[in-house]
Formats: sequence, structure tokens, C-alpha cells
Amino acid sequence: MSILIRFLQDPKKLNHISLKEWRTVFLEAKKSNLFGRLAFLIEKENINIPSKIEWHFESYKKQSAQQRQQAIREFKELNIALNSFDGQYALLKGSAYIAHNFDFSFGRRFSDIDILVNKDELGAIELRLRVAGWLRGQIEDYDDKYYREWMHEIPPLHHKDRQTVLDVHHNILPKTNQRHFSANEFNFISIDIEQVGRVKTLAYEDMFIHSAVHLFTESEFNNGLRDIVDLDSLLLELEALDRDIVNRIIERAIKLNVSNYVYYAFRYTYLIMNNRLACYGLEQLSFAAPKHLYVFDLVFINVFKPDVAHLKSFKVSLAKLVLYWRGHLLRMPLRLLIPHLCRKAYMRIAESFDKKSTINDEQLP
Amino acid sequence: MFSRTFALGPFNFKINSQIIKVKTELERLYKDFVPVADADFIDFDINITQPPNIRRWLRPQVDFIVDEFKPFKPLPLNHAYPMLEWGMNWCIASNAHHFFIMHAAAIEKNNKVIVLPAQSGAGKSTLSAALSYNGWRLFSDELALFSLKNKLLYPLARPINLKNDSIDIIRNYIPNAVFSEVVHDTHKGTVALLKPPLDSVKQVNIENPLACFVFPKYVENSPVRLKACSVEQAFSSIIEQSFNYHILGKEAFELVSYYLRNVKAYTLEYSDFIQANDALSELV
Repeated sequence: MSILIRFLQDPKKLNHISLKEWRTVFLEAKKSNLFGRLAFLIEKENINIPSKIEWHFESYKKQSAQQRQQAIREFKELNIALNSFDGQYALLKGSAYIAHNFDFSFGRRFSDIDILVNKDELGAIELRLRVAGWLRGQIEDYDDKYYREWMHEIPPLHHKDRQTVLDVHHNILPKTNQRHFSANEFNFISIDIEQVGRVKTLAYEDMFIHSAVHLFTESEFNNGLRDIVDLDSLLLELEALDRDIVNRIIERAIKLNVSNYVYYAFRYTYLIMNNRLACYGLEQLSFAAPKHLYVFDLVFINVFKPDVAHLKSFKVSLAKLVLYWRGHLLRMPLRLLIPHLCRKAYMRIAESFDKKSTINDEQLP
Repeated sequence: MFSRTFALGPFNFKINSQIIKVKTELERLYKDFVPVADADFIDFDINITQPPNIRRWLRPQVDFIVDEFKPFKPLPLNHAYPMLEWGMNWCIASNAHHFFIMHAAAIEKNNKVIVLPAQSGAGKSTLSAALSYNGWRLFSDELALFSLKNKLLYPLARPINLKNDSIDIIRNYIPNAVFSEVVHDTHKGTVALLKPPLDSVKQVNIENPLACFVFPKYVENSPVRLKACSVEQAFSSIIEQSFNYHILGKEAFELVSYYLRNVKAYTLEYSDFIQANDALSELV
């Protein structure tokens, strides 16, 4: 069992571990992108940490504080770029958690800012973002076409001066997913941020549903454990704002026809993080359980753990492989998928023999 | 497979590799560093390994992996040791934000540190190599660490990374110098690492305050020219050569302002080590 998960459930246990165990916690947390979460919990629960390792947490906190500040600045830039016309956008995922100032957003690292826009306005919004300095990165024509034809988001945009990355979604699921529904069906709420103004995010219950749907249609789970920890924290935090949140989530899940994904979200948030609200939700949603639940348990419990050498096993590799194919099949039918994966494999091999692929000068002091 | 641990100033490193060349170089250049005690915490656990793919036989490569994370693409196998050194720099520069970190050489005399910030190629490694074997203590040839807590500088005393012509210049200037093998065709050209002086390594845990900033520039055949530099100019050059100013924000601004209110900044043009040594000795 992962030592990290044990401590995320009950940080007080960290008070009594050796430097050697700290090393393991440390590695698991870094590899799972949960170092910030750990740092936050240590501070919140007033855990004693050995002076030898203090600097790691101190340093990480500075980095995530800077990232948070940067994100808030980007919200402001987005407001300026997009508010001049009727087009509206909503912050998704990590950005939304920051906008709501949720506890668990402190220390949570993210690589890009995700926004949701209206598909009909996508062209106009892209144009305005370009004027504001958000440019397309280098991308193969094939990838660009693939994104635009099948995906629910456009290829990531990079800001020319600030190097921040923007992911523009115009939908929730790829249109080939059989549970595909229009993003217009989501409910939104607005929130005022100091020095930024008003921003929009999904309504609380839809925020949870969006995260759940995203996680359980993925094909790669590098941040799988982090995402489960997010769902766990999000549920607890939302409950403080709305005592009836679990019932509201279930109601919405049924209406949007994604109760299966929400079922998984409850199940693994309960099984991995021991979340009591998820346990309650699971009972209410029992009708949405899949036929061969033990298969799902076998694969998901094996991927929702830190991706470190000492926890690797045959089962983990198998689970990853199964979920890779499941994710791709959910995204598109085989007749589209096979040519796509062949094409990608070819591109990867060609790239690996490209002589130019060498160390990046600027990364090295 | 072999493993070595050593404490480099405030950081504990562990290096694991099966590559014999890496082992040889570590034994040669890091011999005087103190190993990390068994019960102590390893800050960076590094593997230098060959990627397990078919290219192993075609065009062998090497990977730098720290805490099971691979920050760079692989390099040709014979770059293994320089890659380790660059990777160790990366570990410090991208993680140790309890320091304000500059791309600079730093040397100490009379318990005062001169920081020499400069772009690659300006000759800061060459100058710090020459001086650290002539009466100065080596803090670092690449990374100057300014503590945000006590405003002191922290030494690393790591091997000095010399490039191209400076390898032979230093070989001639310091006859007993111990070098790593010379590696050609890296992204920095031809490189070799110079073993740090024993005294510098022995004093790696002694921190000292800043004496001044000196922006060095090697100018062929030029007499030594040390000129005071305006605060504005110094400030912008310092930010330009800093790795984490953007992360520390206000904290870094306040620290740099503090230094520039209390110490001077100079530009230095030189071509002769003895003249440069004399000029810098006046400043401490």
C-alpha cells in the first residue's frame, strides 16, 4: 500500500516517521503531483517535520504561490481579451478551484489554464485570444486536424510573452463518445475576484460532474491519484457550501446521462480516500453500477496509486494497458481509432530517429 | 551498479550508475566530499543510465533521472558525466527556492564573497578556476546561492565546468590541476571539469556575506579595467542572470535592493589573471 495515500487520509500519522520513510513519502508525492497537497496538509495540521526536509516544502510553497498569482493574473487578461464582446467563457478544473479560493487549490500545481467557451463563438474567441498574444504552439497538421474534427478542445495555446498555456474547451466529451452531451446543458455561477472582476465557473454540482466525467474517460492516468484526491477534497469543500451536495450531484448526473462516470467517481473516492460523502453517494447511485464491477475495481485501484518503481507490478502495467484502450475506445470507434493510433506510432518512431532531438540548452544552467 | 553519496553544501546527493566512466570521474573529482550519513535525508536521488531500448546498440545514449523523473531528453553516452553535472545544476536551480539563485561564479577571500554574474562564454568559470587556485576559496562557478533568511552566500565548491579554449588555458596556468576526461561536441562545445581545490571543499559548510557584484568580461589583450556600475544597470543584470527571480517576486526584489543599498557593483574587463586577481583583491 502506498505510504502517501495513508498520510493523505490521516496527515497526523506523519508526526512519527523516520527520515527514510519521509524519503518514500517524498518520492511518491512528487511523482503523483501531490507534493503541494502534502505541504498544505502539513501546515494545516501543524505537523512537525524534520528540519532537514523543511526547505523542500518551503520552496514548493513559493513555487505554487507564484503559480497561483500567475493564474489570477491570467484570469484578468482573459477578462480583458474576451469581455469586449458578448462571448463568454468559464474557468474549468484547477482554475475554477482557484477562482473559488477553495482550500485544496492551495499548493495544487497545474500545467495550464482550462476554459470552456461556446462552440458557435469559437472562431471569434480564437481570434481575440490571438490578438491578446495567445498563439498556437508548434503542432503537426495531422494533430491539429484530429483535435478539431474529433476532440472537445482545440490544441493548446501559448502566450507569447508569459509562456502560460491555455486549453480552450468547447465541449465536455469528444463528440464520438456515446454519452456526449452539449456543454450548453451545464449550469454556471459567477464569482467576483479582487482586482480581476467577475469570472464564471461551472455550478458546484456540475464542477464535480465535469471532473468525474473527465477522469473516467481518460486513457492516461499520470495524474490519476491527484485527480482522485481532487474529487475527495472537492466533495468535502462543496459540502461546507451546500449540505445537500451529494443528492444534487446525483440528480444532475441522471439528467445529463453520466451517472456511470459519477458512480466511478464516488466508488474510487470512497475506496481510495475513504470519503464518507462518496460512500453515501455510492449507496444512492447503486443502480448505476456496471455489470462487471470487479474488473473496474481491479484496473482502477491499480492505477490510482503513485507511479513509482516500488509500487509497480504486473497488475499495474496490465491496468494501464486496459485503461489506455478503454479511454481510446470511449473516445472514438475502432474504425477511426486504428488508423489514428498507427499514424501516431509512426510519427513517434520517426521523431525518435530525428537527430535534432537532443537536450534543450535553455533548460540547463 | 554503484552508488555514491555526498553532501554539497546544503544539499545531499546520491548518484547511481552502471556507467564506468561516471564512476571514474566521481572518484577522481568528488573524492574529498563527505559522504551522506546513512540515517540522513537524500535531497536528490539521481540515476545516470542507458535507456532500455534498441538504440543501445545503434547509437548508445544516456538518461539523467532524478527521483524517477526525467527532465531532459537523452544525450549520447559519452556525454554521461557532463550531463550529470548539468543535471545537478538543474536540480538545485529548479528546486531550491529558499535561495535566491543566480547564474554566477562566486569566490571568497577574507570571509567576503565576490559574486561574478555573467552569461555563458563571458569567462566566469575560467576566472574562478584561476583565482580559486590562487588564494581565493571557490564557492561556485555556476550557481550563486543567496539565503533569503540570513542574506549570506552558501558555497557548493563543485567541479568547475570549463569550455573550449579555457581548458588548455587553465591546464597551462595551474600545472597540478586534475581534470575530467575532455568531452567533445556537447551543446556547450568541448567541455572538461576541473577538480575544485581541497581547501574549498573542506570549507563547504562555511557561509559568508557578500562583498560586491562584479560583472566580468574577458577581452583579448585588454589591460584590467574595473569600473563602478550604476545601481540601475546592476539591478537589471542581476535579474537577467537570476534563475528564480520570477518565482520569488517581491522577496527577491527586496533582497536584491538590500544588497545594492549595501554593497557596490562593478564591471571588470580583463585578459590577465594576475592583474584581475590584484584588482579583485582590492575589493575584499
